[in-house]
Amino acid sequence: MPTPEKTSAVRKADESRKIIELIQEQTRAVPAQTKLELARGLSVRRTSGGILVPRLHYSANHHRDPEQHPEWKANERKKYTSQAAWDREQEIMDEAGGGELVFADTLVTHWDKIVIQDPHWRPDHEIIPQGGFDHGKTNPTALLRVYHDFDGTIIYAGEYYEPGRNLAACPGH
Amino acid sequence: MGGRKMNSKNTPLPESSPREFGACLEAARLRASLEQAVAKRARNNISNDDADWVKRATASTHIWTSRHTKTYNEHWQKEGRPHPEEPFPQDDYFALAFSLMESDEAIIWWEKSRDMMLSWCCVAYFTLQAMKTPYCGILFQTQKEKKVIQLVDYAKHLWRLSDERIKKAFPLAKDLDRQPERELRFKNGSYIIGIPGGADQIRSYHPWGYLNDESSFQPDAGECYNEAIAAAAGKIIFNSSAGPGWYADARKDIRGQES
Repeated sequence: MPTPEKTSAVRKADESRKIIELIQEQTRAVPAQTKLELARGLSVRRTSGGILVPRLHYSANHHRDPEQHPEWKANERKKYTSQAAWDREQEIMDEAGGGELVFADTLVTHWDKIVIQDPHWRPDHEIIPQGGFDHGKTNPTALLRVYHDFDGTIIYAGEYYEPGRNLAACPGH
Repeated sequence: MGGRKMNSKNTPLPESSPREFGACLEAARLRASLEQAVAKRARNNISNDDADWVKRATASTHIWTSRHTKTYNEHWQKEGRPHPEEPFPQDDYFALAFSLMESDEAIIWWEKSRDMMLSWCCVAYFTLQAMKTPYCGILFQTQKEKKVIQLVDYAKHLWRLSDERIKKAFPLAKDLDRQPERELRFKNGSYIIGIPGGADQIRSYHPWGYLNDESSFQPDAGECYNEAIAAAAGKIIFNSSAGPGWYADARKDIRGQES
């Protein structure tokens, strides 16, 4: 094992400490949620409550930095089943995947079989409509209206889907 | 009566050697005593040197992790590494990440890309605090028990692969093999305990430090945060890759729960 005082690790630790002290002051001087770069792939910001939020992106690792090694991202992306999964896990996007059309493939593939295309169709008046509601802002607010007929068939009859707005901002609230 | 004098159990009583070895034995005893004193003094000198070395080697988490202990990499063969156990990588972000954790920020909310070794970093930071500070309690929490056992195992691994002088300076309360899988206890009274998800899990503890790992995937992460604020006296670190929920909203001031 090397002698501690002779290693670059000691110098690096000292330099880092000074950088962090400086950035702590800077984050307090700017509005909340203002992102300040510490290094390539590493940034910090503060919440309105003053909590420090560091963000560590894969580009901080020089083997994964797209500017130096674009092949890493290209190869790694193949391991993820969707762009949303990649965006969430690697690009640090919380909202990625929220509101993805879960049944999109089914809908497109079996359109002729499952979509009621008669504009005059109406549900039996004895069927009580049912709904599902999920409010949110990071994820969209969604309201779904369905009819559950006497044969057990579920008929989706309408939806409200609005990303980026909370409940108070939704029409009719 | 003639013959040799005997005691009541018919054992011969000790007598002085007719060849006068007594002086030689006394000299040998003195020599041995002197040698022991010299050896003890030498040992004490080495201990003082070690203590100074250990102080410098554990002055920061970055120095310790990059030089004097090792992590393990389960993908070492695939990544073409020569050995599964290596010191932390040399990327600049490690030193900065450790300095952030060692700063006077009481609460830190990390957001990260996957597989950046940040969980290792958080564990290393808290483990070193427990090693260096007597009676320093640390709580690790994740959604599942299996994962929290893994975090405690990270801490055990970092201690086990530390330089021998560091291990000697910060001994365990008992052997690693005899420690429970969710605990790591040091002789100085410090401990690391892993608990599974759930705000009610925190209440019975009063730790100095609290690590919540993969917070985006804990349904009651917000309640855990509130409990941690009440229970932990020192550092609180949340660490997670992205995902919708309380942790995402709180980091972005959408609900403002941190206030």
